[in-house]
Amino acid sequence: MSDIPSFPYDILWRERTVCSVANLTRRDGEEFMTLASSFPIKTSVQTFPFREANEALTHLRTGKLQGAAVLTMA
Amino acid sequence: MMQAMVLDSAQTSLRETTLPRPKLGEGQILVRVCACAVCRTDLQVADGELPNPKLPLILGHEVVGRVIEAGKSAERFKAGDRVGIPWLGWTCGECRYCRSGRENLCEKAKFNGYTLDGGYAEYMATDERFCFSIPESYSDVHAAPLLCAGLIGYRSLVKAGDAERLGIYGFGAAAHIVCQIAKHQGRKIFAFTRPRRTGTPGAQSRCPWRNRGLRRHSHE
Repeated sequence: MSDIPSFPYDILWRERTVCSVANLTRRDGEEFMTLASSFPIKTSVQTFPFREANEALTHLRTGKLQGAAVLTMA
Repeated sequence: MMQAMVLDSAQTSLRETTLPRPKLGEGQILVRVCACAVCRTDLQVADGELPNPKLPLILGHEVVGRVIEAGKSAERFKAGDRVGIPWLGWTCGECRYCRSGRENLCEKAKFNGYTLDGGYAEYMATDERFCFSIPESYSDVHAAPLLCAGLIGYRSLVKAGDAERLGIYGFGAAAHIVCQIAKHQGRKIFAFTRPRRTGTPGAQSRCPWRNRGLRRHSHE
C-alpha cells in the first residue's frame, strides 16, 4: 500500500471525515446478498482450473486479468 | 482425500497436493468447493505481507460451494444447499467489538484463507454461522467475486452514507460491483483511474463513462 497523499485542510473542514473499512460483518453479507437478489449485478470473470492457481495469482500480480480471476473445480 | 493448492511458506509457489478431507468440528459444514475467486489479499498473504498466516495454508476466501454434510449442532444448512464463504470465518462473540455490531474488528477473529484453510481445494470445513445463501440467479463462477470484492465494496458504500455523488479511486473488482449498486440507487459516480491501466473489469461494457485517462469521468 502506498501512503495517502497530503491535502489542504480546507478539504476536510466543515466536519468532513476520512474513514477506512476492514473485513466484513455477517450483517453486511446478509444485506448485500438481499440487495444482489433484487437486481442483477454483473461480475466480469476470467476462469482458471483450480490447479492453475499459481497462474491466476501471477495474472493478478502483473495486471493481465480481464475481470476477477475465479478458480473452478473440475 | 482431496486435492488442494497449498502455500508452504511466504514467497513460494502454491503446491498441488493430496490431503485428507477436513474433519467437521461442532457447528461446521463440509462444503464441496465449486468456484473460488482470487483476491489481491491472497497475493499479499502469499507474498508474506500479512503478519500471521496459518502455515501451511490453503488460500481462498471467495468460495461458492455445495454442502456435503452438516456437523454436530450445525442446523442452518442441509446437504445440497449452495453457500458462499467469505473472509470472516470465526469471531469470539464476547469482546467489545463483537458485542457492539463490529465483529469485523474482533481481535480474536479468524479468517478463511489466512488463519483458517480456505477454498483453493476440493473441500472446505467451515463454521456455518459465517456462510451466506447466494441468490439463485447467479452462477457459481459469477457469484464468487461477490464474496469479497462485492462485500467490501458494499461496506464502503454504506459508510459513504446517502451521498448523492460518489468518487471511486482505482477501478478493480470491488469498484466494478459497487458502481453497479450505486447506479441502481440513482447516485452519480465519478471514477478516477491511472492511464493505460489494464485488468479493469467491465470498463467497456458497463462503465462507458470511464476512459483511460487522467481526467475525471462521470456517469449519471
